[in-house]
Amino acid sequence: MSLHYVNAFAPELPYTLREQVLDYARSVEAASRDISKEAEIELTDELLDQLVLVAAVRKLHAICSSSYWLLYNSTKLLGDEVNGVRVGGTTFSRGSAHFDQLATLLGDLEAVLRDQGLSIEMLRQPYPEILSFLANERS
Amino acid sequence: MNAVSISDAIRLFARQHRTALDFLNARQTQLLEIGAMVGVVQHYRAYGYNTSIQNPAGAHEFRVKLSTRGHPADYSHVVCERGTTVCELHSNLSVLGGHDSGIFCVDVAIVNSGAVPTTKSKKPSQPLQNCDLISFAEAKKLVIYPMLLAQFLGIVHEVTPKFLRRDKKYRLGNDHLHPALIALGSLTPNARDILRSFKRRRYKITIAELFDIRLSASASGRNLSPFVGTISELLQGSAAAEGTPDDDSFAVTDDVDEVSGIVTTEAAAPLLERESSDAEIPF
Repeated sequence: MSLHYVNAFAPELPYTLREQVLDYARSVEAASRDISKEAEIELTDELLDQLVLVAAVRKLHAICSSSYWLLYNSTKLLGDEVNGVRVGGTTFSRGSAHFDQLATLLGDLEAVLRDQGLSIEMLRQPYPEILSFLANERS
Repeated sequence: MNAVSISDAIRLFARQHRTALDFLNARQTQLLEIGAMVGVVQHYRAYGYNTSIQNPAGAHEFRVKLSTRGHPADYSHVVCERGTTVCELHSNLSVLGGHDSGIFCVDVAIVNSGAVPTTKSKKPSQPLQNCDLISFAEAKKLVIYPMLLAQFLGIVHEVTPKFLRRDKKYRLGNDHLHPALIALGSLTPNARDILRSFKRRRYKITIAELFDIRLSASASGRNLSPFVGTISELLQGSAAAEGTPDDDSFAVTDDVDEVSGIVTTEAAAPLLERESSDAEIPF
């Protein structure tokens, strides 16, 4: 039941990304007793659902963010010696369509989360703190 | 927090960005392998090597080899030079094992200069002689869990067994990189325990977890290797190089487990633009 909110959007993700998001959400679900104990907060079904949702969002953001920054830093480190990085039939360079696509993906996801009142800073907090935040919000 | 609203908004986001997500889905591993090569380049630059990119004839972009197939001459490589020391970096290079005639393909190979042919002949390319392999790096987009460490150790044992010998005097000179496992994920607690044991056994290997964070930090400071030091040290060095923390910076819990030659650090709570990439449950 605790994957209730995650299952509402996960089917829209491509298979591998979906599995990464679900695996991570499940791992947080499995650790929820310890999180609850550390936060000294009683875990209700709704709180658990919300905690697992935050974990899934955190993972999705991490996937988008790390890919963008890997490419950004790679092109930065290679410097001006090359026009881009060619992988198979695709050339990655700053300003390329794929690079812009990743930048837009990350920017739009962060905008969606901001609109929903879910800050990136909050996503990056340790889980006991996130649980405390969720519990305080409800009370 | 309105969980229903968040869930709906992300569902809509995923629908609207399906093309980009499909692209990411297909290219995640490739992006990491590019990052691994660039990270090794940065290591050598940080240690005073001049690096130059050698592209195949007519190519103006850096061509990365991402599979075992293909002739090395059709792909780019990097020449690292410091005084009389010269080595080359090749991606996905086949190399003979250290014990027998087994052939292994390593993600980033650090090899003696001139050992890999830069022109094609009628014969298919031959695997590199083991004696010409200085070191190597392997990249995984996984959390570092015990079986991944065991697998990496197995590769080191087969390809460059000298790095596992308990020889206190043995050192790889010229600031070369020890065999390195690059991962996007963090270390599991059990994996951390195993690294302590590796240290006691004097294995000369490098474990670079959360590599995107390391790469990010070293990108800001020209004399920083993404393989050396803790993430916290890298970020501090990065900030010092630029005067102020740049937009790639992270706040890091300096939960350092310095295992001398085995780098084990834990990054947590990134503050600004970036996020570590893989599963990390901070307890």
